[in-house]
Amino acid sequence: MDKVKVALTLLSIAIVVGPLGFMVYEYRDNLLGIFIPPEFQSLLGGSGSNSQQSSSTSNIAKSLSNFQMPQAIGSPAYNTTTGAFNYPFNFTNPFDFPVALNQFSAEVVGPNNETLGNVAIQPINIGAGQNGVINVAGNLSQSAVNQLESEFQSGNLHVSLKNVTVNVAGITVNIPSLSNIGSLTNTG
Amino acid sequence: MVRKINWFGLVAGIVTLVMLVLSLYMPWWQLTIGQNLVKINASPVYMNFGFFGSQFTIPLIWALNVITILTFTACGLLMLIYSLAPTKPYAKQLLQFSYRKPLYTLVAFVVILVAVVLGLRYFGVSFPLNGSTTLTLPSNWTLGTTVSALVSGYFELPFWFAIAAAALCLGARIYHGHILQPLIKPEATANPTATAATESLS
Repeated sequence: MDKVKVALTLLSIAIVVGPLGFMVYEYRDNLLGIFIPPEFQSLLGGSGSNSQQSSSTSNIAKSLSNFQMPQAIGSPAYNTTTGAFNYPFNFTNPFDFPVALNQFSAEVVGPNNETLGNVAIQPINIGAGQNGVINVAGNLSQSAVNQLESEFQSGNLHVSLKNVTVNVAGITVNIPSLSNIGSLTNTG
Repeated sequence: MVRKINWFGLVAGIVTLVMLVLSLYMPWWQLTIGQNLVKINASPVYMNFGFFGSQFTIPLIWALNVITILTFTACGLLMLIYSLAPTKPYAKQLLQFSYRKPLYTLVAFVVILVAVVLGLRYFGVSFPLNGSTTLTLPSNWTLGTTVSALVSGYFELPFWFAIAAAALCLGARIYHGHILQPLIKPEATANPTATAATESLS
């Protein structure tokens, strides 16, 4: 009976000490790696010892470095009667997983905070590493179109967005205002 | 003579091993933020974090997971051995080794999970233990913008198996006393005072 008790005690010790001992031995040159995943160490500039796992982080870092702003395709289409406009953008998903762009909506305002119209996109799912066309649509007044056209020619848009709502992959971001939305690159 | 079997122990051993196999493929509790943007698989057997489609494991937690796998394997097998021979001299040692650990692991898992969820709630981040909610990050974290996401937390099948295994292990411990009872001789259990009183009355 005592032998059984001793055997079970030894088994308990072996079960605990074995994996922990192996882990310490495996990371003997980098003990911090026991607590921080090698993937995060490589992100922070350190060197992870586990090459198999660090590949997933390098994928993320590569994906982020490959991120590019959506590129405008052609020229915006505008219906002078209704004020509706349509402007497609090309976007490449840099990630290893599909990205769902569920919502983008905003109010367009001019330099003096006057309302020019509104913009929104149709929801789109873009597969891993795939290209997708994001269709920006909305309604703008004729004066807003004239202003946008002149600013577009100059290379910078001096209009702002208010009440911006973006939903990407289920994460919703509400931004009260985005001033001077910047330049547009026309690839068309 | 009919062979004694601790049926609770037998089922407990089987359920423990089934729970272990299930836990290798499914977490006990899963938290999902957004549309699989962030995924946390919590389990004493296999815990990992999914972020932007990639899985991460902390090496120390991996080692603790291996310890739990080995512990559950030993507990399940020893519980089966005990159950088939509960009257052997070594049976009690096997039972004492194997019945407590699934219960302790389950209690520790629930306590840590609840502590983490309550701790995050203190900082204004509220995750559901079982269900879905919209999580809004505190405004002082997000520089004037409002960031919100659908957050789902669910207990998975292995968790319910773990509860069943722990309950059956306790049942095996209680039933062990019933198995041994007929083996104890009446002389040993009789109250000497009561016996003497009966004799004097007769």
